[in-house]
Amino acid sequence: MMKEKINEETTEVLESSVPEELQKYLEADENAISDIDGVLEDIDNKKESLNSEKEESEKEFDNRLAEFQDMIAKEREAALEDFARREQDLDAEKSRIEDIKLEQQSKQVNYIDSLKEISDTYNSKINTIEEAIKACEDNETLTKALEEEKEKLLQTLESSYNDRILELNDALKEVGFDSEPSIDPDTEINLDFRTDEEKERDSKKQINKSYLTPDTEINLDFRTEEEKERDLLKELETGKINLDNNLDLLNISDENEVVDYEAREDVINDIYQSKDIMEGHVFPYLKSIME
Amino acid sequence: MDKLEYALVTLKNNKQYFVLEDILYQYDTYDLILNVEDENDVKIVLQEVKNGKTVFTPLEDKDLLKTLSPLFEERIKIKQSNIK
Repeated sequence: MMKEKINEETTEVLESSVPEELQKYLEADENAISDIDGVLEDIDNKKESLNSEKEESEKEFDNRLAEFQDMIAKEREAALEDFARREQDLDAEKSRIEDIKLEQQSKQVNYIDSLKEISDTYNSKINTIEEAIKACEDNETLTKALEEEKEKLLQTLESSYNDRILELNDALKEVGFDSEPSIDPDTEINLDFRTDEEKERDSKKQINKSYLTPDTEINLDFRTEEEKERDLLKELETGKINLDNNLDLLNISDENEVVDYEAREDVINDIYQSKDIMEGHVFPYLKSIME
Repeated sequence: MDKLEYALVTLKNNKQYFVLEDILYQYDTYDLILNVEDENDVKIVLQEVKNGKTVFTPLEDKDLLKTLSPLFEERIKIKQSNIK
């Protein structure tokens, strides 16, 4: 506005104060002013062009941003789907193994009942024979019969135990323990026919697995490998057992196990910018795989 | 354990690696790792959890490696352009 006003006033002054016959002497001024107007117009055009370019650039940035957001959203969605699928798989696997555990726990109850029944039957027989021995004093035939009954009891219990071990090993295989059976069917059963004195003497050396009398505690280990491992970890934490002797059992002797880690994106960014490492080692490795 | 991507990890065998990238592919996580002391020791490993411990298991399946390689390459290029 101000400029326009100055221009108008200047023109008025020139027109009013310069005689007509002298106008020709102002031609150079008019040409110069006209040139300046031309330059101003040029600048206005450039400014207009710059504004168009700016708008175009903004649009492009907006598009790229939208594309990037879309890509990230898709990536996120795919990752979440993956996680959901993995969670479902784990839930299904957990449910399957819990069913197996429940089945085995139910069988364990039956097995214990069966063991007690065998024990009761044979104890009843043994008691009868022992009473008969007392009645007939040292009767060799009855003593022999007693020994035979005890032997039968041992065999019956052992056979029942071996059947149960095979059943448990099958269950362990079913839950993913594919290696050697974790329970040895040939494990010796230590049925305890010792006197109280003998028991006391040996109590510190041996675990008592006797089923013979009703008061005897049944001490077979029905734990799954997972439960054993959990118990072992507890014992390790409390220092009850030595770690070095149990590494294999825990299966933590893997040399490639990550024992420590530290976020170092700063260093890794430098590596990414190192041509020597990226072009010299990393990309050639990836390309060699693709060949 | 937190995400190991862009971390410096120490293995039980005392070797140290930079985890340049990690990729989730078909439910498993794979890492591209670079030995701190030996630039020639670059490899793709499977990141597994065994008995609660994180383990880097070397990959021998060539088809799987072929599939993973371009994915890592792409990720590296994106990361490089982001750094610039």
